[in-house]
Amino acid sequence: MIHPLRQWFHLVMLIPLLCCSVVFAQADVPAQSAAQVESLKESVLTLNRDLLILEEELLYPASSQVAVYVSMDLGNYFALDAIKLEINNKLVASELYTEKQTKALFRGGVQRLYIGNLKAGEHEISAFFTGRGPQQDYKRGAKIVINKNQEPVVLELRIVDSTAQLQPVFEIKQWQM
Amino acid sequence: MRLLLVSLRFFLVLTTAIIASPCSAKEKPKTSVADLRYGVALYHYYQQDYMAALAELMVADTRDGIQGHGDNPELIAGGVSLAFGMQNHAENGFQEILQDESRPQSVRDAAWFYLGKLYYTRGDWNAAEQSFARVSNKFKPALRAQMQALQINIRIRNNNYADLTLKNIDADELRSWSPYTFYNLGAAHAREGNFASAQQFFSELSDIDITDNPVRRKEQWALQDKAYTAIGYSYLAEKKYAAAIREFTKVRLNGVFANQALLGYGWAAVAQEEYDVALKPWQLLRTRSLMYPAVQESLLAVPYAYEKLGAEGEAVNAYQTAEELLTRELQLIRDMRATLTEGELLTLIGSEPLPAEEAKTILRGNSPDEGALTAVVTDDGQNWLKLDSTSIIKTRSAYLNELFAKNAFQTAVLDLRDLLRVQTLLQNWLPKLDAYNELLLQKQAARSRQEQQIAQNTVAQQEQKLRAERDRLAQKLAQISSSENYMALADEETQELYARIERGQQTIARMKAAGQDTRELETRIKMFGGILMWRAAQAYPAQLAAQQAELNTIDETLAQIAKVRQNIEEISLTSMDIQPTLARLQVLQKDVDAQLSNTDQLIAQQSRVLRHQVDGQLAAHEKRLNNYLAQAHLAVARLYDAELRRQPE
Repeated sequence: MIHPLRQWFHLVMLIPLLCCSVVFAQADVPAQSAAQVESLKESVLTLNRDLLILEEELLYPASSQVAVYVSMDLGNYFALDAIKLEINNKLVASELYTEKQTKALFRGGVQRLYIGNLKAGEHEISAFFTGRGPQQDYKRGAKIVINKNQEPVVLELRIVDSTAQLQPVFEIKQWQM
Repeated sequence: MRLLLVSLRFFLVLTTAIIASPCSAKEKPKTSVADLRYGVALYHYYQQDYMAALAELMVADTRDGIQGHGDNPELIAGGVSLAFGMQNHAENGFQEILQDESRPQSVRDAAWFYLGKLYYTRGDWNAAEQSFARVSNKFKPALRAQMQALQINIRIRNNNYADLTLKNIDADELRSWSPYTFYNLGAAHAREGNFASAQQFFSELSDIDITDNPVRRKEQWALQDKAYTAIGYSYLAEKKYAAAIREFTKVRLNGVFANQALLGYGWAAVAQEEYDVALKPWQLLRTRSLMYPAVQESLLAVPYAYEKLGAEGEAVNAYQTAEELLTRELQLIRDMRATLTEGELLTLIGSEPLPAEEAKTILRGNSPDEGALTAVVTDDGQNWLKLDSTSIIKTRSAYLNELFAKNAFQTAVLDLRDLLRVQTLLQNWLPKLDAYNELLLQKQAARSRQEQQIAQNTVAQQEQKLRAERDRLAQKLAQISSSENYMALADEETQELYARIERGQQTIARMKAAGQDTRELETRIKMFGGILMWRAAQAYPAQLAAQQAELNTIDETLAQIAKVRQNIEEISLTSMDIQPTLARLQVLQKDVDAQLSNTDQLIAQQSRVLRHQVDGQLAAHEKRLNNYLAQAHLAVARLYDAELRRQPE
């Protein structure tokens, strides 16, 4: 004769225990393995930092560097779809934005859209924004003429909600380095 | 699945906690972004790209740091480090913030809070408790609520929760954490056998207001189901069978706890010897997926009830059906054990994460092959802070659900996933570094050629001019030397006087031709000429030596020019300004190779750990099914034996 009745007792013990596996943390994680993984991550991150610095020095020396960033304000009047960036009427960067990217921008993130090199002298930088507003679709542009000298050029493409005009405003800000 | 729903709630609040700092930055106008690198780090962080976020912060730190964001960069660095599973790194960051007494209270509160959570995650309850105790009353209420929930969990862990009652717990202060806290306290009492206390806490959950939010509503329903099931089993333990059945019937039939409730319902009826009543939930249970332990048990529970009702024939049939089903299920598990190799797991973990909604669709897909592993990695749980709450691998296979909910397993998965990302990062650098190396070499060669050309041209012109001068001087000296022309090297005055003598001699010659007497003049001019020649002859060796010295100097200069040319050639070839960069690059290349090798080794190690855990779990299920199968075999044999005994000989 079998006695499966005893099984329910296992279950009644099981449920609270399962709950604890949610609540309590990973005290059972093998410490040595975790330490090895973290140590490797630390080393690789440091190495990655050195590589990034070297790469920037090599490919984009400060004397010729131009970097363009994108930031977004509240985004009530504009849902960003795409940006095209031109330098001296030549397309240098374009981006189609995913929901994840636009959310990151809304939350205060800043995207590095482009990094490149420019010769000394005058240059025209243009950005074209496409997206959707509450009432209409937008396709707007913004333009700036910069004078490149020995200092790096840093520009921010800003999408700002204008509460006065109840529509988005697109502007390019040049940062003083 | 119940665990998962509870977990999702947990992760949502944790997410809020970690983004608290960036959110406060967002409250300010964007013009306050004084350092774009900080914004870039946030951009990556919000997309769960932790390595890129940390890289941005580390590069900024190496340069001149992030200006104008107060303590946010350090807090966010700590938060990202935690999200990337770098607990020691995060701990150091928070400790550094706390060592500075001048930091504002809000920053210190946040640092103590995250530090406490970090210790909590590690299972260092005392350290967690001490850190939480340092958080001031002014800390953000939402985060305080989370902290208080964790503090209660620590008390449960330390078996110091006896004085926690419904009356002295402020549910409002706990906010959305209160249901989980009540459930945990109920479960703790149930484990200790204090069923009355457990029931009080569980009952509190049955009264929670179900919200209109569809996601939260599902979660709250699941939590209520879990509570009803737990209360039911606690009544069973107290032999209050009618009350147990009442609670089990409250559980939704399409909920994830329905199986346990149906099983419990049946056992409560059996305990009251109402076998026909027990058959109803068990027969329903038997139609469900065999992956669930409660369903497997129903395979034996149904014939058990038939036997008790005296229906031996039905019992034999049911046991035989159980044998067939269990045999098929066992084969499925064996196939799964064979399929889930280390490579298979690596592929699964390394695959692109799916959006959570898409994953849910797949998981709801009712695949015809129910036992097949259809685990997917989703993008909603890829955060170490969500670790203690959310399975990042979701599967329809109930065999692994229990394992997936374990922290050790999730840690192994997350470690492996991070290691695969680290591996990809390093692998991506390799071709780039080769290209940069080549670029530098070409740049060096081009610059060498250019410099060489420029330098060689200048020096060559100098050399040419000097060599012509030298040749002229050498020729002159050779002529003077061979003809012993003392006057050629005489001083200016002597040469001028001697020129006058020569002009006088010409005058005398003209006078002589004109028939004039020039004898006295000739004598005198000859004497003066002799004196001058004598003077020149006296100075000649010194003058010759001086000229020779000048020639030597020119020769030395020419030798120096030759040396300079050689140096230029050497410098051009080595290009001193490119060389250090090239050397730096080559060192980094070696580092990348070494770290890639370390990463590969750790990946192999971690995938073995993971495979071991998965296989162990499946082996446990196989063992359990084998036990059920053996019981079914025995039961069939026993019933046949009894039947044979009953037949007349």
